[in-house]
Amino acid sequence: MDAMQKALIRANPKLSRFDPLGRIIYFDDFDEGLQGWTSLIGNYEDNLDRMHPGYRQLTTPMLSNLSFWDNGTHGSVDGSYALKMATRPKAGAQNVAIKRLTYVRACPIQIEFWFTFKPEASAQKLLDTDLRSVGILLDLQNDDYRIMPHLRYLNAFEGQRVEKWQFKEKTVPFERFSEKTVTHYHLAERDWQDLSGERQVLCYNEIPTKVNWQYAKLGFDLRTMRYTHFECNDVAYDMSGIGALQIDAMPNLRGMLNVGFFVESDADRRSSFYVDSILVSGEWD
Amino acid sequence: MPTLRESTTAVVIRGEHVTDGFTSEPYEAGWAIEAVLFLRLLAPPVRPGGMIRLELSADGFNWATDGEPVALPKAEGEVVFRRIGHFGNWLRLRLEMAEGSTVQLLATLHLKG
Repeated sequence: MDAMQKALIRANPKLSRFDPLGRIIYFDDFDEGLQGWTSLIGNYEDNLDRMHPGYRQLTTPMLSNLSFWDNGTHGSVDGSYALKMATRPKAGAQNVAIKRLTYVRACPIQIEFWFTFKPEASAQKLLDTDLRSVGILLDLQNDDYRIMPHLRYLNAFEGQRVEKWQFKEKTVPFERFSEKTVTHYHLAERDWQDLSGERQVLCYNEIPTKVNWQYAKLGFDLRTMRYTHFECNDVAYDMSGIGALQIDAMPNLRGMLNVGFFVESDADRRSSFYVDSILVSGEWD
Repeated sequence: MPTLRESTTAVVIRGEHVTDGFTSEPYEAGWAIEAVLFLRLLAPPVRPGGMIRLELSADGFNWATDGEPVALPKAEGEVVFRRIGHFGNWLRLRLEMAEGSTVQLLATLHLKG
């Protein structure tokens, strides 16, 4: 990135809190609407009943202004609205929002986003262990492989604070519906590993209706299909030995560049993941 | 060039086999000024009948009923709709059906604002 481009980005109040690579592939500020973010639907044939139960629980993402019963509207970072995914009110419940593109160059890419998370404020308690995790996944395919990097911030597990970022690199078995259609539930609660031995405490604040926004930056190289970097607020992680789910290329997915966000609940209460804005950039001439 | 309004479709019941008392997950849509609810059965009903109640909420977990109930479609292929306005921030649906009755239902909210 040359000095002129850097100066223009830093002078733009909407972009200045990001650190993009040379090309902005997309920048979604959810004050402008849902902007292509949609629900993840599982594969099925003949009847929706045949969809894997993990996918059947997923619901449509929302535009939220973060309104709370005791304190009114919280709003987002630089406006009113954020993308919201909410789980069902059950321990282990998950939800996902996804945006689907293809890549025009196999190049280094970077995903930056401002986010926060909260359990539903339906009890007058701290509720800091009611939300299990929030995370990001990529779903990519080149000529040889389908690669699915998964990272999550494990806030709590079975009622205990954990506060660690985790990754997943083991694949899960496929189930076949027919000659042409298969499914696999890659978000199952298995095979997660700690990214680091260190905890990273994110600002939760003191009651469920106070919200602080956080920043994360993920780098991945589409040429090598390896992580390049990952940072959350002021903590950088060593990604050099970190792998991703990898399976043989599937028939209809070449060039896929999907980005997804997910949330998991640790209690019988809804958990919500809010994304104020996301910037996906790449490096090519 | 005018800025187009936001318009989105939320699938609030996606082929679930619903019975009396079933409620959809809350859908937050304070940005929208209007909504249309569409209902369609995905399989022939075992026993036709039943109603949908529209519910509104100020916080996403305490609910009040809005307006008259909407009769469920009586047969596969029949489409039922209800126009909705002035709903605040959260919407959900509640099923009122005879005991033992069940339908596989598709319920979608079409929101603009």
